[in-house]
Amino acid sequence: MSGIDRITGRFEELHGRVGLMTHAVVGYPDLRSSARIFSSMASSGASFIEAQLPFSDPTADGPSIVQANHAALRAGTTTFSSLDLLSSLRKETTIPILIMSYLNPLLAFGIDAILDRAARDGLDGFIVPDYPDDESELDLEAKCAARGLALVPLIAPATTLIRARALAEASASPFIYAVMRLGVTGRKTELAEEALSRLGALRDVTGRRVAAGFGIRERSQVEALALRADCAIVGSALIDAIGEALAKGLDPAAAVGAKVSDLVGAQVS
Amino acid sequence: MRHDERYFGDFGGRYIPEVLRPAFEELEAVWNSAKVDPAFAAELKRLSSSWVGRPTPLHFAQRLSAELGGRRLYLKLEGLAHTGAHKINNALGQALLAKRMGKRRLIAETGAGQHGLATAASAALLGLECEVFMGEIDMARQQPNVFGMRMYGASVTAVKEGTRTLTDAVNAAMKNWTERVSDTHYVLGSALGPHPYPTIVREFQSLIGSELKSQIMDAEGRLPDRIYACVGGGSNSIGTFSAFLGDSVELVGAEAGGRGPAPGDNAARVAGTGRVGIAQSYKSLFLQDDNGSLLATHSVSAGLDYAGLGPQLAHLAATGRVRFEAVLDDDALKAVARCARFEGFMPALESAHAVALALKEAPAMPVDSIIVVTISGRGDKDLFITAPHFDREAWLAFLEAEVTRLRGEAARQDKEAARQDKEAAR
Repeated sequence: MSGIDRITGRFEELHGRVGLMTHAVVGYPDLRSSARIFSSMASSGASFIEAQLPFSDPTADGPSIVQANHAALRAGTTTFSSLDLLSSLRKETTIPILIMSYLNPLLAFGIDAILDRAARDGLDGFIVPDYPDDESELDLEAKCAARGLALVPLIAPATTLIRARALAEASASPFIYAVMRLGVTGRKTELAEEALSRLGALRDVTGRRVAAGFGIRERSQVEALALRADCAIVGSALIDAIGEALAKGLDPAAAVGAKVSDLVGAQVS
Repeated sequence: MRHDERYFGDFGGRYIPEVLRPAFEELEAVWNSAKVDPAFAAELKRLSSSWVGRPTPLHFAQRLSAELGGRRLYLKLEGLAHTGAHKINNALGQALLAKRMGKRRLIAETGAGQHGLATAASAALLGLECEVFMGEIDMARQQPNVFGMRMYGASVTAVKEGTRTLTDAVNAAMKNWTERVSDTHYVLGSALGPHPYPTIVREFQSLIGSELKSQIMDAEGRLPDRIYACVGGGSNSIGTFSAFLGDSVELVGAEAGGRGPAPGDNAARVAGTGRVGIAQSYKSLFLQDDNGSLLATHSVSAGLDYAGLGPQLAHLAATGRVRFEAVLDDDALKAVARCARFEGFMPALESAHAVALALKEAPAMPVDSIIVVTISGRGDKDLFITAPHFDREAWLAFLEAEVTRLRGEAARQDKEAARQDKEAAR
């Protein structure tokens, strides 16, 4: 089954309920804990996993995720060891796994090499925040599509609907990533009615499922998104849960599991 | 499809997140209209003269030339521009662009503090708000500039992430911009980053080279044989070199050789181990590890302590038009002393890298050679680095005495205030 098919299948299994994509940085706080954290996400009810390859200069991320990137690198995480971890995760769960990475780790590994490896290992797609559609020299979209991998288009608050449609049409991804506010990841987003109703418009013009992220930290926000989006994306709040657990000497994987269970409570309510 | 106007050979581009797209479209449109608008050029020229103090002098270094066996050494003294470095050329130009866009707030990254200082001063001049992002380590080693920026009314925000130097300050400024695109212009300080910044910064800095060209023709009646400039991100070097790219003049960039060639001990991208990558939204040479993460860098000079390189310079390195050499911390420090003793001025530690390289290589050149070095900034800002290096005991004694004196003064003022309160209460 291709990654694109697996993602589409997962959306269909949700039967209209809002899904949850949970994000963490691979290798944070270390590889062994990180593997347990991703497993815990899958077994606690997440619908998709977004696994970020650690990088020194994550320019779209806020302090929590930046700090997690640096900690993962300090702990010795490499792109190879990150991919090994995800390939093991694939063997234990059918949850769609998307790699979030900035361009340079992909370039350093080799674009074709990492896409081949991802496809071979049964990973499902890529989210690349510093790859705009008008710098297409690397041809990431075609290379992903040829391997059945989704390259998820990112739609910003100021992206026009016309442009959003063009970005979706140029992509084989079953869903788009709607960024819910300006700035970087982390700080809680106030979900204004205007922003929520835009999600419906994005779904209409793109004809794709819509996953909404940036500053989604709490169950109430997931509930607010439930009627308008197909999936909520939560990242920094989970990184923070890991950090708090570590500070208290508790198990970070259990803390992430508890937070994910709390967030998915919104799906059945 | 590739946007060739964004590239210098294989380098450059605009690898920005979608959220910044409107800001770049606005900037590009305003730049395209400003660069052909005579009124914009006239305003920039007027302020460059009356406020910045341009043109800066081209100084014939008579005593150093004698030391070099008669080879003629000239120094382009950008340090005599207002705020002490070439950075003001670009900061003022971009501040005027910001006004043209109707923005009311400027942000900037800074390494040595010179670009932050220049942006803060330009903001004050034009009545704009200003926030400068500066690595915590750089704030500690360039405290006089931090004070200066605050005097000009800017807030200085310490960047505590990553290497806590220039690379992370660039990230912090770019992130701040993603939150405030509507009212803020990001005054990028070097000829790097996403298009159109490398072009904008080069154009505002290119008057270094164009002035130099007419000054050396006046003085010598011919072009120099070789020109040196230091290269951090590359703004003073591309500003110097751009006027000479079509001439038969050898162009040499001095990179930070730091403590030596080991990874993390220097910031030599071309002369060291930089490899092609895409980071900080542009494609160029970066010091990076096998996983594509940028490496920590080291230089005694905060302004050269940067893992990337302006894309046009990366291209000029690839074509061989500009030669790059690494210069060690110690040699740069020695060059500061040599300029001080022989020519009566102290270059910034950054610029001293170029001087050190010129002094080292000149003796191998023909005796009738003409050599020019761009002195990108003056050395006042480095007092807290150079003074303990050259005169540790006296500097320590001064600092200790100064702390005692200031503490005593503060105590006396507190006592006097308490006495006045008491009297007022009676």
